[in-house]
Amino acid sequence: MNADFHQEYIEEAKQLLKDLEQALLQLEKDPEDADMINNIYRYLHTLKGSAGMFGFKDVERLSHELESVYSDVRDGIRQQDDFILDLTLHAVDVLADLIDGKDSGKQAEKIIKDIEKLKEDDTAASANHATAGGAANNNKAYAIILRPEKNIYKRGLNFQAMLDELQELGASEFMVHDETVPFEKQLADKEVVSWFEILLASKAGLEAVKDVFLFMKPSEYTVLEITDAGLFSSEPYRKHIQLDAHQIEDRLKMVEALMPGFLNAPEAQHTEEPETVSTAVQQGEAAEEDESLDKISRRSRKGGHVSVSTGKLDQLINVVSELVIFRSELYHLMGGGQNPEVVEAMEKLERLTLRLRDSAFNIRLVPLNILNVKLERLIRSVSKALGKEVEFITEGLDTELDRSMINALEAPLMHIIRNAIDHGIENPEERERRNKPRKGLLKFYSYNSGDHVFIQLQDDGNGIDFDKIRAKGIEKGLLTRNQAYSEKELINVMMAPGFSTADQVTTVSGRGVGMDVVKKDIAAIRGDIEVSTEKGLGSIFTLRLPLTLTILDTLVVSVADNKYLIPINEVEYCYKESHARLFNKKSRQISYDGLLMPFVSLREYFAIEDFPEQETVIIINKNDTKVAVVVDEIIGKLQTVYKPLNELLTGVDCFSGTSILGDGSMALILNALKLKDS
Amino acid sequence: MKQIPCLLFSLNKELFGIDVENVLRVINLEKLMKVPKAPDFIAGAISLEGNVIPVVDLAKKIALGETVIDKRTKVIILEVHHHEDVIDVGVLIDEVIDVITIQESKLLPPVLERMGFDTQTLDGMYKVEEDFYMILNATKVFEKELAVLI
Repeated sequence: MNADFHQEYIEEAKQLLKDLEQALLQLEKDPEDADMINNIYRYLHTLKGSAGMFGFKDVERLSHELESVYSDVRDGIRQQDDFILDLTLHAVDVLADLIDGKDSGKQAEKIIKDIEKLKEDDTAASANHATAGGAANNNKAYAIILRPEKNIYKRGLNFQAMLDELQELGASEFMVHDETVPFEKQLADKEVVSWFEILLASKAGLEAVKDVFLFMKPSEYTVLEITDAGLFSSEPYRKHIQLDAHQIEDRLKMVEALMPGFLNAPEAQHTEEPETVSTAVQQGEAAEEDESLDKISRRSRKGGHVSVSTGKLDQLINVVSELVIFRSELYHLMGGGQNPEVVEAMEKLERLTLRLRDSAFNIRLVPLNILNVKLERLIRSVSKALGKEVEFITEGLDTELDRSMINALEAPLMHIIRNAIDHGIENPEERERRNKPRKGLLKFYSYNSGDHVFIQLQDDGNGIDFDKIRAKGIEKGLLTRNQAYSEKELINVMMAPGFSTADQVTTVSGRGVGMDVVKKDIAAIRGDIEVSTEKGLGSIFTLRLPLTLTILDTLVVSVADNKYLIPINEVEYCYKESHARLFNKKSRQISYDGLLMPFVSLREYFAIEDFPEQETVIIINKNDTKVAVVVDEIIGKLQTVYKPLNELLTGVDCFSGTSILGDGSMALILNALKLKDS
Repeated sequence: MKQIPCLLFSLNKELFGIDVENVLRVINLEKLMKVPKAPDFIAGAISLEGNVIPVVDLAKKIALGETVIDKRTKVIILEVHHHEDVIDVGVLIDEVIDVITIQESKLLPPVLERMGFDTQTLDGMYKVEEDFYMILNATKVFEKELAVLI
């Protein structure tokens, strides 16, 4: 098999898995989303087909099994549930490993066994209820009428929480009657004036549904099981709501939407129904089979996206950078240019090349939403593991950042989120006691401002417990007992190496790394992190990041015949000093900010033997570590394109990279911290 | 019979050849940037199409002496394969002589002793008329450096 095709398959399969993962998470939010179920089925189908062609046997088998599960789900024979979702998500990971060539055959085997078991259980179950039809028909429909008294909140009941609980029982339709005040406002004001009608399709029994309203007065709620269309004209229902024929039809349509098959299968529990349904489905499937590949490939083209390897992209950017430099060289060669037409043409060329450069750099920027699926999965698994309920809201996921930055952000963001769920958001019970919704809120928002991108993670949990931090800080010897500390100082301590407040080491956070690692990771991509918190109300973590790693603002300095660059955000202070005053003292220290500190002379460091009379001292501050560096002089400021060091030079760690200057010459970027170590 | 196209060049009065598979191009040496603290065999770095590429004093690298840089000094840009990656490295040479195709079977084993340089870096020797060309192996030349990389 041609290796190119093989590689292409791997790329395509990875994309399919990503789409699949996204669709699964979407489905979790809205389990009734028929389109999503269809998409999942198609992704699996396509994956299976091409895996067979390229000899990925395990991938083929596993996706085949999953496909059969989702074809049942799609046809209403099986109900999508958490177990299936967990299994499929796990399978996505295993499939990704298999495609990467990892030896995950055993795990694949295990999942296949699980699926087979699932099917066996089904056959057993359906044998027991020979006449019950498919799993979907275990659903019952209810009409619920709620007339809460105005003082419901004063009685300590959380109306919203009850509605949420009801929603968890199954698909529902919620209708507000007498909405004289907008419902949201009623909830916000904690004063309910409307009354409500809810249609619910659920597997839960009548008692389970009634249990939701355990704390309401019997006069406040009515739960009726809808066995047939007659209910809406029956007395118990008419007591609350009188409907005309047209309205009844609407209600029935709603029930049908919640519980497909309800209208077609009145009273007598459909005996022949399942078969006719499945033959119809099979015919549909055959037609779809051919279409599915086509549809997916069409879909991927519709968005107008092509995926390009980063190597090709870097190449483009390099050539464009070279072009920009070459243009200025050409301009110099023309010596200013006397011919106005040539001058005009040169200006036009300049504009075009700069625009070309900007567009080329823009290609490297990708929206943050490529992280979304990972974060959602993390939140899902962490909140499950800890028994917490979390609602994740995102905003501004279309904010763009350099691809390499997004990769580097993944770990710190995951850590902050883990911490927020573990330490911040309280247990559902605790939250109820505090009059907060059971579900904790985790908000992720991001926006551009100037040449920076901000990312904020906000939770409505308990906030940072400063007493705990103080105690822990003292215990760890980071703080002294009798001193008062500001909140800011305490937050700094929290981000100090080796600090973790978890009483017990949970499997979730507190695995030895703490906020100090987050801080370091963010600093490594030239970002800052800020924390604000309010006791009992939650915390906000704000990350401030440069738009791209490739564009760097630098200070150009000279040492002997060479130029060197220092990232400008690391420069704290510069001043001139005579060589004699620096070197005459045997202690070789300078005094800065009321402290004595040693300096590194670059001429000396690079083994150059002569020195200028007048030298320049630059105080560099990187992540709170200060280094004084002595250079000849400052040449100016420059915005430049960062290039990593070639592999053969990576051992030279006093430089972090290189850059090409406007005149085509090169300069090395100083890594000041390494100067100090030597 | 395997045929290898080779670039022939001179360096410190010795004659060398290298598989063109590894040769990206040959350029005149211009604007060499010094890299302080770099290993001794690195003469500096140049910019090539927006990339910064280290330039190796090949003579020093294979213990053949030292290259005296003048106006005629040329740089062969080599592509050295390392696992999946390709690392670009420039090497200093004196003069390009020719590109010829050599028969692998006619490669002679290198004389191992008293050659005055590191013969471990050779694939073999090749005789063209009366001249012997040492056929360099790019990966072997940078073996030590590549081993340190992951």
